[in-house]
Parts: sequence; structure tokens; C-alpha cells
Amino acid sequence: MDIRLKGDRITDNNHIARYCRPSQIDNGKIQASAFFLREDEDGLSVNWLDFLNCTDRDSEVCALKLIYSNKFSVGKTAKIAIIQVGQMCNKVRMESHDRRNLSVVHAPSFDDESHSEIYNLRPDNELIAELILETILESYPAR
Amino acid sequence: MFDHYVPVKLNIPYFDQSILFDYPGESQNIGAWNWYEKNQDQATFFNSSQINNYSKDDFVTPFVQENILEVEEKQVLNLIFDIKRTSYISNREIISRKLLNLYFLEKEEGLDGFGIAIGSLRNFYHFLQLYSNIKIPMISLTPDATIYTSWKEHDHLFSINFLSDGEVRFVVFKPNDTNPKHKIRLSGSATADTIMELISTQGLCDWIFG
Repeated sequence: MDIRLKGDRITDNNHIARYCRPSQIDNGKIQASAFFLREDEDGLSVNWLDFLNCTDRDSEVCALKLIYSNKFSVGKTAKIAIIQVGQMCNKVRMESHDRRNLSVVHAPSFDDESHSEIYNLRPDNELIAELILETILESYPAR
Repeated sequence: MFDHYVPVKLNIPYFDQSILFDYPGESQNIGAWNWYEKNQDQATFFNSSQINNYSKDDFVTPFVQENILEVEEKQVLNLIFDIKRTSYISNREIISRKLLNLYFLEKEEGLDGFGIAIGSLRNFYHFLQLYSNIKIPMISLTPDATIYTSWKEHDHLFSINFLSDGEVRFVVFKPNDTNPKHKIRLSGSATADTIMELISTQGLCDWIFG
């Protein structure tokens, strides 16, 4: 889908959260596989934290946990990775082979108004995912 | 015999929950593994919705015919057991336990599919047979159920995505000794039998092999 038809582009000073499944975590550490696209996906699902309009990070994490639990079965050892959009985009642009420009676009759904997507992860998803992994600011249990 | 029910359970007579719950903690139930290796045709799996319909005593008999495994799921488990039994793979116990844990984590989430892509697992096993003294990697699954391994040491990284078609895609991060402000970042694709030859020139062999 043409990303210009989707919602607003999320600017650099905002934060996003990525749900990391238990199988994407080893020994408590999130792995780059948490930032891989499925074969049939164009955009990586994340949540726009600032859209939640919470007072602090703990409240944001609580809000996310509620969103996740309403949408799908949350794994016992799943985690939430917090990333700043600008740090992620800058790192990928500066350190990828092709100066990749990632786009983070607001893509609300009926059951998740903060839902957003990261585009331009392909080709070379493995390298891009490892770069994104290095920009994780903090992580929390997802339930 | 069982203290509580688990989302996915292997129905064997000497089973306790240690296989599923003790990783990465205490030792696994060797008796349970040994029984399964000899009696795979008799093993059945329960999903979480069925498990609560059974009382403890129902698990005493090994021949309850409920939710029989698909052929490919058994192939995945058999291959994990093959890894465990391949004596010349130096870290086979921990690696096979990690794989089994990943398999059950995926099944627990109730997703369609077989937990781990069988082609990826074969590819990974082939790699382990070729490089049997490899150090224990971090192991995870991609959304397409392929195996993703990572070795990290200080500011060195070597990661491999084992695809189902026999190819691997790899990533290497390492310091740039000539220009310390910059890092060297490599990525590409190869096959399991050529990947180490490709990266041996990158000075990674010292810290990847045990």
C-alpha cells in the first residue's frame, strides 16, 4: 500500500513501542528477530506512545498492556521495547549500506488507535533489524 | 505425578513439567526425553483448551488418542532430538533445549504452523554438523518461524537467519581498527557450508568457536 495514503508520519521526537514475542527473546534479551517483517507484510507494527497522552512512561506501559491484552494473547515472557523515532531513523540512515530512510506512519485500527507502522525495512531486513535493536532505550514486561 | 496443567503438554507416563518449565533453570527430565525418543508414535499433545478437561489420573496411560501430532510437527521434534543425540555437537544439550523451548513457546501462543519451520531447522542442523564446536548462540524465531542465531562479544556481532530453502542471511558488526570512530557492518547471503569460509577473513572465528 502506498504509505502516502496512510496516516500522519510520526516525527523524530516521538517514541514508539514494539511488542516482542517470547520466541524473539533469549535469556531475557530482545533479539533482532523482533524487528523482522513477515513475508506478506510491508510495515512493522508498533504503537505510538505519545498518542496515548499519558503522564509518564509507567502509565504508557500500562496502557499498552491493556491494548495488547484486548488484541491478542500476550506471552508470559513477552516484552515491550521502547524506541525514539529520531534515534532509530538516524542510526539506520547513517549506518546502513544504502542510507536507508525509515518511515514511521500512524495507522490506527478499530481496536488500537495508537497503532503505527515502520516502513522501508526491506531489503536487508536482518541488518536493519540489528541496527534498530541497538536503539532500544528501555524494555518492560508485556504483562 | 503432575502438580498443575500447562498449556502444551507431552503425554508420557513419566512426564513432569520439568521439560517445559525448567529451562533455563534446573535440569530437564531425562526419563521423559528417553521415553519420547523410544515411543514417539505413542506421544500425543494437548492444547490448552483440552488440558483442563482431564484429571491427573488420565495422564497415567500413555495411549490417550487426543490431538495427534501432525507429521511435520513430529519431524520438527525428531530433528531437535537428533541434534540432542549428535554427540560431536559440543553444545547440543543446551541448543536442543533452547529449540524445544522456542517450539513450545510458539505452540503456546496458539499460532497456526508448526512452531519452527522444518526447512530452517534442517538448515541449522546442517550448520551445527559442519561447525560442531560453535559456541552457544542466542536463538530466536523470526515471524516466518525461521531460526535466527546471534553471537555477541563486546562490540562484535555475528547473526545468521537460517532460511527454509537452504540459504542463510548473515550480519556482521565489528570495530574498525583503522578508524575507531566507525564500525564495519557487513551483510549478505550464502549457504551453511560456505558462511564460515566467508567470514573467516573477518577475524570472527576466535570468539565464535569454543
